Amino acid sequence: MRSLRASWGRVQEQTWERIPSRLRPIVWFLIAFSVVFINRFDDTWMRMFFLVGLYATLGMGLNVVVGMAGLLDLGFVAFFATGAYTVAIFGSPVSPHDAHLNYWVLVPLAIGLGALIGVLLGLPVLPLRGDYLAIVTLGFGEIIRILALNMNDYTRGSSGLFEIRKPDLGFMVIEDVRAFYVMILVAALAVWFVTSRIRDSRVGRAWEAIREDEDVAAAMGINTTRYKLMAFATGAAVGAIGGAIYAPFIDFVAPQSFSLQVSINVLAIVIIGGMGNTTGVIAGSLILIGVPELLQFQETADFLQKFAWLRDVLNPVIHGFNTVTFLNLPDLPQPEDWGKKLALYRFVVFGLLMVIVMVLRPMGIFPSKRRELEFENPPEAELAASQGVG
Amino acid sequence: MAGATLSVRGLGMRFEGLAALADVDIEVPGGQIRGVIGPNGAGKTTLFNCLTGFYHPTSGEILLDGARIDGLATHEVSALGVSRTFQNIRLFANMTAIENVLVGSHTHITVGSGERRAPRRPSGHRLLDAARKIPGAPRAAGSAINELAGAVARPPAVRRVESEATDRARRLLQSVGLQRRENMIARNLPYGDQRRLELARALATRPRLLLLDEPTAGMNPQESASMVGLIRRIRDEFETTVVLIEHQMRVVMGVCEQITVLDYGRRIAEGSPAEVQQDARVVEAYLGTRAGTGGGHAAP
Ligand SMILES: Nc1ncnc2c1ncn2[C@@H]1O[C@H](COP(=O)(O)OP(=O)(O)OP(=O)(O)O)[C@@H](O)[C@H]1O
Ligand SMILES: [Mg+2]
Repeated sequence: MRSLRASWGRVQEQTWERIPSRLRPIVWFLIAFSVVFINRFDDTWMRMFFLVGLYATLGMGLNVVVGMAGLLDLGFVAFFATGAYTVAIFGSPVSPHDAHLNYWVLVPLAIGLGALIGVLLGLPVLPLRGDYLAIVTLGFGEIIRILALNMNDYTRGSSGLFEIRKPDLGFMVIEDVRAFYVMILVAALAVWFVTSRIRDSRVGRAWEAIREDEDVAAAMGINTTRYKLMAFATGAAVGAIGGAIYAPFIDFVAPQSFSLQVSINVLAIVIIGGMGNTTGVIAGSLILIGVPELLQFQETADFLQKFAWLRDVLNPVIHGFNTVTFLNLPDLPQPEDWGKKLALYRFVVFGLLMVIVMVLRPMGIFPSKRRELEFENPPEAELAASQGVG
Repeated sequence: MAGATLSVRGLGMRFEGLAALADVDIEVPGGQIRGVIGPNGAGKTTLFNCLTGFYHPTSGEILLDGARIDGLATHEVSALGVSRTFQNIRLFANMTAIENVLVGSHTHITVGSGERRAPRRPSGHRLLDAARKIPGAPRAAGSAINELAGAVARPPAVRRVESEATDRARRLLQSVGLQRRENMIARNLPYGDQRRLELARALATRPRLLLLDEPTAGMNPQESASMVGLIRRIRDEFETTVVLIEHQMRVVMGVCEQITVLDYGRRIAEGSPAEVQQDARVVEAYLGTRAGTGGGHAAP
């Protein structure tokens, strides 16, 4: 019986485990498609693509901390804010501290400051593990937002900073959504390259070892303090890059953009996508950021219009149900509003999705390559056992 | 370079009233295979935890080749050449066999001089110890950035040390008989192989003192016998001192040159296997709990 269940589990795994490698070409295709036909999409679509790219980038950053090093960080927004505010404070004429610096000078500054704040926030949480770490980092995310709200002399509080200088490439200025999309794509690719190189190095192995068993990692000579701080700094630097690109894009940097919700979105992307796996992070961003945006599009509303008949069919059923049960269920809304309504409730859907994923797929929908590999080398002992007892 | 000498002097470890170790003295000359035996709860694993910096002993001293190592952080002790395996196997479960070994090689996968200052023993004052680290912070940051840059750019020097380490890891897997398990996830390895992998990982740190906590626990007689052969070979090939905790008397008597017996955290006897077997206190300690030789030791 037990072995029967084990082999069923394996069949199930087989189907799932193959997904990341099958998904990869689709993700690449989507990226290529969005670039080749970049002029066919209107601004709303490009905005969605940009946000998906931005969150995928942030996700890859947080993935270093959560997926690779196993440090549950709920305050990732702090680094995103650091990047955005660096570019805004020193690169906006409305800022009290405008340094009249070129955007490209501010980006390395943002990365450096992000990494520094990553280390500073990492220091006090070094001895903490698991839930405690999550709670304290959650606090840090809020502290940064409240600081931004109150340091009026730098941030102009809730009035925010705008007219942020755009990235100037010499031959063109990045102003258009399309240009920003290409920019975030380039950044995402760079981050993907850098993080996967690090993952496959001594550093990445040290992070994984810490994630697996911190004490044993130390017994193997790994200075866990050093590598944890390196993970925080790397993740934070990526977060800051995201912020530095987001600021000139949105052209309004204010505390309300840096709520806990950002941290949660990024974490949800990492978890649902599959910890430690870049393709999964991109897919997670498509699902959690792309789809809710898509639902609010005019095209979606136009399309849903076709389902008006469903309303005619279902509303009498609802009325009937109401008279029988004394409930007072409302009529179905107009079909063109369905998308918007669903998008409104997306956090409910996220929550449900998270719970379902955690129950059914604790390694994420698209777990890391590691698990595929594991499957390609079926454990002989288990195989033998399942054949023996059948 | 032969194995390191280990001196334990007056070692004590208290856990809220319970003295897990009390006034323990042990001298292990370089290159010896020393057995540590004793009934369940005698303090054997606690001794290893003190030796590797997992616990900071409440009294006494630990010296490796004459230098104090008690109070140092675990990774510092490891870098000085103390490595261990665990009674309840603690592999990096979701990493492959070869990755486990490569993590063991961590401190040896370095580019450049890799000069290392002797670690400083903590003063006991937390603030003072923290303050002492501040001057080194810029240097540490610089070397961290350097390491990350090396990982990303992968210059020839980095590639060379990586491939050397991989070759060495393969050889280590081979020497414990796991050459065909290289890419298997550690968690999926059969039990005996997991113990062997732990051994290969410990060897990858290039230990001068190797601590094995019940390396044959849960193994059948054939597996135990081959483990005994492996331990002897390791001592000769890798030139390390070996301290071995063991419950199976056959293994202890077969492989250990000297044996230390612990009971209730105290050293009650020491000597050659033959001497220890005849010692009245040892017999008494064992008879008090269970039959003297061999037999099934229940997992802790
Ligand atoms: N971290 C700890 N906190 C409190 N008590 C501990 C701790 N570690 C060990 N002890 C206690 O110290 C005593 C010695 O434990 P230890 O694990 O060293 O025994 P052992 O000789 O390895 O036994 P076994 O043969 O069962 O492995 C036990 O009573 C144990 O409960
Ligand atoms: Mg023990």
